[in-house]
Amino acid sequence: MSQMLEKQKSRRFSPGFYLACLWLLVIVVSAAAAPYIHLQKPDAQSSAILALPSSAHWFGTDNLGRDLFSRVIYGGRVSLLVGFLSIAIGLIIGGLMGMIAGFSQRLIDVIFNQFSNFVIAFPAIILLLAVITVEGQHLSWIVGVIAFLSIPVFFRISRASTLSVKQRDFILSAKVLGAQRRKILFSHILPNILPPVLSIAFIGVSAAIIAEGVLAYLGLSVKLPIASWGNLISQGAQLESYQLSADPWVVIWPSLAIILTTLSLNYIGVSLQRLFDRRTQRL
Amino acid sequence: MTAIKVLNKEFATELTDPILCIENLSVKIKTPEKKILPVLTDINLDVPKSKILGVVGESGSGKTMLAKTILGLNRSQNYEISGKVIFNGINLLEISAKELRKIRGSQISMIFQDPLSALNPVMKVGKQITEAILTHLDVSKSEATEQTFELLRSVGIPDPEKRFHWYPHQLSGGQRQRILIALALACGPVMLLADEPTTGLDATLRRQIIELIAREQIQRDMSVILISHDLATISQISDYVAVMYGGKIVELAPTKTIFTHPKMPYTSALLEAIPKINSDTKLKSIKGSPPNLEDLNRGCPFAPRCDVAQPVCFKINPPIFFDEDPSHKYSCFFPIGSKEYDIASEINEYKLANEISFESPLSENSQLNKQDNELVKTSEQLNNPDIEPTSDEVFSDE
Repeated sequence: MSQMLEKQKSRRFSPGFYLACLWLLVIVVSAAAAPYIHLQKPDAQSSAILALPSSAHWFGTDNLGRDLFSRVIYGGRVSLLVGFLSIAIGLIIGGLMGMIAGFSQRLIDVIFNQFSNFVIAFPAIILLLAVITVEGQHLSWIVGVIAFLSIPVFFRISRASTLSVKQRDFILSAKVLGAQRRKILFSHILPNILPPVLSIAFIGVSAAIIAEGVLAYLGLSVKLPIASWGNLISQGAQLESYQLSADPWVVIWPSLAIILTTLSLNYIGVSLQRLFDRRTQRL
Repeated sequence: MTAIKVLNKEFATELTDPILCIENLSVKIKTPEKKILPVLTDINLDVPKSKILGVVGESGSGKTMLAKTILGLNRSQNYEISGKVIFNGINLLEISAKELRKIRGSQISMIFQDPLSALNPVMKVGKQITEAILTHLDVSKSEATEQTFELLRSVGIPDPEKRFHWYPHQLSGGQRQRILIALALACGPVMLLADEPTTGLDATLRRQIIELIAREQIQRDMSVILISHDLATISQISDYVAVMYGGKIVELAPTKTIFTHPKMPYTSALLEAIPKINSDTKLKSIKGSPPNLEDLNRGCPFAPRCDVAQPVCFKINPPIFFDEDPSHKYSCFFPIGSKEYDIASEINEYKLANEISFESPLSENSQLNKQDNELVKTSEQLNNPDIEPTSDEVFSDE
């Protein structure tokens, strides 16, 4: 029995999960610490144009002679900020709305549901274009719009989870013991719906990072001298074809960064989901 | 029926000081198909102070609904509730949700059937109890923690300082039920509703939990409503037993009387269904199945399954009677031990022996009658292959 348990424990996460976590840790720490570690300035131009990877420039340089290694790291600051911040905002707003709607199930449920349907039905790209052309390419607006678009996802998951948790006896038991609605909501329902919502959040972050990439490709991400992964790719793609064939690393590095990061995030999300599913099955 | 007096206020006991009076309580469920199902019909019940009242009945007899109604857990548009539930002079059906919340936990508390699902799986058991204390009592956090240790000790949890930090899944079934009892007792309620507290436990634990409830009841001088489908469990500790059937209370008496002199045929059938170790007779079951709430007729809900049922039983719902002993009340026209019962059972035996079909006393549009007619039709078809021969019969002819 104990052997079986141990086996189960060791199989809880695959090595891939730890690898994904490691990658995420590296990328987040390096992005956070970028100004403090000894890096070349991301905007500093040098005479070495479109240089291939070397010991002086680990990832090579772009067409203006800027160090790509430093640009990818600095670009991660923007991309990761957009990914995590917008999803965090969407999670808090959407999650709270879903909890309240699922718990009260009155008029407020209808209103929130209609709101979420409206957001889903609204073409996302048009909203992004509209807001960013009107308000300008500010990081805060990009984060805000992606957060807004992610609200329905968290609303639906949190509402559905609340509906199922609400049926459980311990909610009734808390009611019988005279607990207030707020208390039931935050100390009994919230901790129980957190696992499914959080595992979706990881997948949401990767979607948000890709959304930033799409915006950048349309020239609507943060203003150009500032690096973001999307900006780097779109800038690289605008090079002449002979330049690109001479130095494809210009687009490979930021693409790799996006691919590995979103892959890791998705992998972590799915692994967590499996873990929580298994746990709820056992309960 | 000369010796029998009809009581106006049904099941109102002569008990000097009932803690909870239920008067003419009826609960109906509105189904999505716009049907109205009577779950509880005209319940009149006094819960004696500092005593244990057992409530027995089959699944679907309305036991749990009774407990839920007392605590106001079924307040929604889907329920139609009428009558009164008076607790300490307050009608619990009329007060606001906020006032009700103050009473819940601190005055009336409840234990649930499944201790695993009744505890929050992601919260330490100690914290759950502490939170309940902090909801109602004006004490500091450390005092509440101290009280929690005391409670855990009193319900028989060993090493409470350690168990305080455990999660529900780390505890055994019996310990979880003890935690649940501690949780229910946390704010010193004067009344405890125990809804099948021993159903999920094995036999040895069952006894321990029942004894724990009995001990706490004496120590705290509480009133307890012990709900169970198991007469044997209830008989161990309860002072009174109320038997429910089809949303009605059909018999109420002190525990001993119920066991020695049941009046209602249903109660006696329940008693016969308890296995006895030193008897050679086959264990009896009650024929038929619990009533479908949609098909409840005007008469006695048990009539279709009753051995002594007479046409009158189908037509009129028997009021509450009592004879020599006023504490023993029952709702039956033909109580066991009376002359009427002997006559009725003789009539039914005679009918059975001579294969006289029971003339249906119901009006033609009633559900039961329709079913009977259909049964008659199908049996005619089966007996008479000329009408509509089925393929099986064609084959058998060859």
